[in-house]
Amino acid sequence: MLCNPTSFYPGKIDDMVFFRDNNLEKADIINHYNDLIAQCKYSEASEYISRQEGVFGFFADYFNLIENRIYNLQEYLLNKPPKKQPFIHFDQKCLVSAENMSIFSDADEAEPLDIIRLFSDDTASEALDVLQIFIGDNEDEAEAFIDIWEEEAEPPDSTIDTVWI
Amino acid sequence: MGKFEQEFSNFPVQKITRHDFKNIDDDIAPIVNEINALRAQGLYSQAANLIQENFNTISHYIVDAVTYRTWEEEIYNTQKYARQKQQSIFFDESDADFDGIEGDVWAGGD
Repeated sequence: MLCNPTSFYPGKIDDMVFFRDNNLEKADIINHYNDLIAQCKYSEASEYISRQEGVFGFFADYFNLIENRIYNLQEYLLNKPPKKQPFIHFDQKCLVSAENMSIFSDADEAEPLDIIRLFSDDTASEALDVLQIFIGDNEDEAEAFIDIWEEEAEPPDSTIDTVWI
Repeated sequence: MGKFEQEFSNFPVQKITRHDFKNIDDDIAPIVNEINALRAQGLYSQAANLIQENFNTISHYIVDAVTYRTWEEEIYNTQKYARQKQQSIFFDESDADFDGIEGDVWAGGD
């Protein structure tokens, strides 16, 4: 057999044929085949060439190989499950956990959040009931950056098809 | 994403129709010899007509331009179908960069 026309896809990736011109070592085989064809001995020529190894040409096996590979690939694709439309969960709010946040003084010592003083001349500690951090060049442009303390977590109704951003 | 080509291929409605090619043998020899004889005399139209009259028989032994065009179209349609079958998620900034197709997800923009 010149090449195996059977396709094993998707069980395995079919081996490459590496179709190429025949080298001089195969010249006698090709010449003999052509002689048989010229004598109209078609069946004998077909049987002869089918017994040869490493001979390349436009024979039936090679054409069947191409069609079988296309067929198996098409069958595989047609049996794939349909495309799913995933549920998209997208929250623009930046949620930051305070659990692991520390603020350091000049002494490089972590200060507890409940006694920290922000923008105050008062030496007394100010309790921070709700912590809000703003970004912006001035107060008018201030936009709440963090106003909710919430644990960042996957949406509760997520499934394996959920895209969580 | 454009439509599938349908001149020679019916995929994905139908898979490729395989020819079950055979090397020329003595069973088909009389027709082949007659076709070759007509061609040798320059009677190409008669040779073509003879092929058409015996197309169902002789199609297992012939690879011509239609065969190659069919394979090309089958591969083209298969590639297109495979790309549509793949669920893709794109994170491009603008929709101009979005190269998805129906059913894909674009997570981008402002």
